[in-house]
Amino acid sequence: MVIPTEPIGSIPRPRALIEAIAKAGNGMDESLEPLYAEAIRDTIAQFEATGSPVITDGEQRKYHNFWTYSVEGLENIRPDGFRIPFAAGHVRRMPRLVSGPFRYQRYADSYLDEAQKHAHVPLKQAVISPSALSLMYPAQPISGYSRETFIDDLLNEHVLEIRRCLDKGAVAVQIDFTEGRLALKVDPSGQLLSSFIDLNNLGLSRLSGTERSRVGIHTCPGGDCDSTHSADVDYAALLPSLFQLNVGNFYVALAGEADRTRVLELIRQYLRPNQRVFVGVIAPINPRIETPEEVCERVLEAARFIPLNQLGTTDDCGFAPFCDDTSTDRDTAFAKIRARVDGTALAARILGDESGG
Amino acid sequence: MGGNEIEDDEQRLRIVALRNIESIQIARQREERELLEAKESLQRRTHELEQQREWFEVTLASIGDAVITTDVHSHITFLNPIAEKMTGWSRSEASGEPLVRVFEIFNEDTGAPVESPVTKALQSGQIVGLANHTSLRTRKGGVIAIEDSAAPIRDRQDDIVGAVMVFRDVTDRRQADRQLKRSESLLADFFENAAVGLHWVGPDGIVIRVNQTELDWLGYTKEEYVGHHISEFHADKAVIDDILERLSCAECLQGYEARLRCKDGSIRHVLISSNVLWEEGKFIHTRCFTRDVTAQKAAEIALREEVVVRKQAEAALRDADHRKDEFLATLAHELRNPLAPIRQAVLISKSVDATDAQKRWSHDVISRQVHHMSLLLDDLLDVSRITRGVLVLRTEMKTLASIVDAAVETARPTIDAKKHRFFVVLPKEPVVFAADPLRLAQVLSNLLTNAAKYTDAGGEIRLQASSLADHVTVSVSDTGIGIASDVLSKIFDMFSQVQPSQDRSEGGLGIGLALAKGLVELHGGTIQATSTGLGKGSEFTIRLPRATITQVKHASPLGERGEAVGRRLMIADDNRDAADSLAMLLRLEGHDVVVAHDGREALEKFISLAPEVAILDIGMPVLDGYEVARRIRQEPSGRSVTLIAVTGWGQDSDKAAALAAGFNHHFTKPIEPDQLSLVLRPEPTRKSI
Repeated sequence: MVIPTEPIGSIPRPRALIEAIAKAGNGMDESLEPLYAEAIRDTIAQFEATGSPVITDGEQRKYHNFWTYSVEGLENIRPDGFRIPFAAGHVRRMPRLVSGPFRYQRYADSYLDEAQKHAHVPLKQAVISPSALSLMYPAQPISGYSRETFIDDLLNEHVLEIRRCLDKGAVAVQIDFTEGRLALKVDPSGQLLSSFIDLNNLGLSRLSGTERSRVGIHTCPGGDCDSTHSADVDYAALLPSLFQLNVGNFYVALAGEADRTRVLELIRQYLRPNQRVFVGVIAPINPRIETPEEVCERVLEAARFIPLNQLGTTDDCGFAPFCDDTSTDRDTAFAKIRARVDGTALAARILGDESGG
Repeated sequence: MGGNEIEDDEQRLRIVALRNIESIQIARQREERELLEAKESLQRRTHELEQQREWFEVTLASIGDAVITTDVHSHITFLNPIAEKMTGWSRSEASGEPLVRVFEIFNEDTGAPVESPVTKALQSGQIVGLANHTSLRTRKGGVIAIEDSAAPIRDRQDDIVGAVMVFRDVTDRRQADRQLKRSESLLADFFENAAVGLHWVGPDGIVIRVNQTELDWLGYTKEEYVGHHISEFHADKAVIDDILERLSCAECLQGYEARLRCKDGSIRHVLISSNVLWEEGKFIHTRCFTRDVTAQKAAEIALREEVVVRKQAEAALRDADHRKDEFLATLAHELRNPLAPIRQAVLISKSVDATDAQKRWSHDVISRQVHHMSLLLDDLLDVSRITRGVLVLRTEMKTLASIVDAAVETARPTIDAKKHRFFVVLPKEPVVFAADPLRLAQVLSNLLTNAAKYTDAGGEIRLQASSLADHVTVSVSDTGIGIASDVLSKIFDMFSQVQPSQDRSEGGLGIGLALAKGLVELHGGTIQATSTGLGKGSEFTIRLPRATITQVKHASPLGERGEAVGRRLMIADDNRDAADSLAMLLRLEGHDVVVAHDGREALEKFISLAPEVAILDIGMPVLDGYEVARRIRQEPSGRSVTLIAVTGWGQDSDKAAALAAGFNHHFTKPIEPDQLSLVLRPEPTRKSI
């Protein structure tokens, strides 16, 4: 039997690229093109070397991060949006929309164009959720551009991005929903989370069932510089709402959870029959490289709660969602990925033997 | 960064989130509203589709043709009642089944399976018709001739989602088509092989169609005929122009005579019957029947010529009949003429007062008149023989001079009687050639006698002969009454007489020239009469081929007679007068003669008297001459006796019969005393028959 396994997305950029970006002061500087190209080529080559059946381009070109890549460079935004504090003490700040209309500066399918030149195995593409970008509209209304219009524009752009990626041949499109758990931290009443779920479902409702079967939602407590922003939020508050999202796949961080069994029980409780959950078996923010046996144990553990035909494995989070993250080196990231691939395969063999298959 | 800033941000974030919630709810409500509207629209649309589907199914069920629909994989989704009936499959049974299982079709001629048009329609995206001669095998094994078509079914995105096939039972129509085809075939066969020529000509005169019969008659191929102007095949332009003109005026032609030109240049006579096929007043084409009457035409011409010939023959026959009547009258006259002097001479000779001189004169008269009558009968017999082709020449080498002498000797009395000046001019060198001297002399004497008769007394008669390289000519000319030009061509006809009344006064039967012509032609020669007109004399020229003529130095003289020696003779004839008179003549010549009057008596006298010569009549009672001869030859003394047959029959067959019976000689009556004397000369001068 085969247990599907997929990465979340980001791989630490090569040191030279990180330094060049810092030196250029702008990740979209044309002088960086050769470094981006080489980083993508090398990332795909090393990714394929891990044996991962599905790979990404490591989000080498996502500048400045998984959250803001689509709006970087827009004239109608300012960098003084909300601050997101991480446990390690650092803060990431959101851009702020200052005028309408809202349009993406770029769509994630542009990353697929280059990756497909090198890839020999299926590529998946991560996109940012509309709920994350909805926070760009300020508290005070923008003159001449209503919040309702913004929400419409946002959904249109989001759905367009997903379709473009699917049309380009992405085997799966993953919506990064790291703000879900953060929403509960900011608003424990759950009202904010509900609004996020509603907004995302509004976007998903515009997709066909076939399209939604190739779309997944990723949730994690954040992972930046070996630190999280909402690990302290109980999954029990998130998961019931999360599984209300109308998609076929869920990528749920689990390896870093203190009580995985409890989380698995929650997943079993709320996972719907037509949904598959890819549980995190690798903790990117942990510098230690998991062994395949360790991964296998986590898979076997998950398999006790989740039907095998609805189970998959993944990493808890990207290895470098922000471009300037140097907390994890590339070799460690690929070693962890290889452990995930091998450990998942090992578990599949064991489970296959157990089931007589 | 201080904790207050973070708290402020979180507070603002909550405010933003809460305000977003309102917008999200508005958006969601709108989405829900739109979704509801979409659902309602979908329901309406679904309802409409249901109605359409129901209508569609009712329509398909009501349609007179069978209908089957399939999905893109050719699996059946629907059958209407007609399709159920035709295939033998119910809709529920057939639904989901592969089409090929329910709709099994094959070529009715070959039995080979035929690919479903649905398959083609799904593959090509085009409407597909079924090939001809296709039949459906029903579920129970029945066969139905069908025709059908199939078309792809497309959704709004123009994607093919299935196919619809419509088919119908055409068994009756297929049968009708076969009958129609058969009928057309028979009609085409009739057209091509009719015993008459058939062709169509368009309004422009161009041949559109022609049957094989007409092509065979004329020798053209279809390509050489069709597409050409019909006038190219008519021998008479005026005729075809007239035909086309009449047809264009809607006239119906019947038996119009025309002549068509064959490929080999020959001409065929035809009768044309034709009219025009008109459609809404438009000249479509002619319907032309051509009957070949060449043979009838030829027969008609031959018949016409035959009628002419027959009329001429009838005229000639009438003319001949007329001349025969004239001849018979002449013959009666000619035969009667000698009778008067003979009767008178007989009376004189019987008179006791008659002197010896008167008796001898009487005998001379009788002898002359009998001789004259004998000549008449000889001529008649000769003409008869020539006419019947049984006269045979006795050809021998003779000099022209001897023949001329014989002729002159015969004609001389007549010439001298009228005191004509008579000239004979012959080639200096003797000309000897193979001829029947008696017959040729007979011809010349006839011409000379005629010349003498038809020339007034004191006229001039000239016989002139010439010998050329390849022929010899002998002409007899006179200064007589001449011959009218209109009778020159008939002068040699049988019974022809120039001036009957005069002829009669001059004597003759009018058969002399016919006899002369026949005899000359038997010699391979020709005879021609010329005259410059009445009263200007005439000339007859005989032209004989020289092929058989040779020059010799010495000619043997003919007609020499030996001295008569008295012999012991027996004459047997039931005609007592004939027997007694002949016995008297022969006794006068010194012979010892006994007479018998029937065959038995003749045989008895021969046995008892053993004569040297027996002259036997053939037609005797008791025993005929043949039988007497045969019995005499059986007697010891009969082997050396000379037997002479005397009969009225002178044909070669008669002579052969006489020879076979044992006769040595054969004479025809009346027997010529000189000829008999020649035979009675002692051996070995006797001639055979």
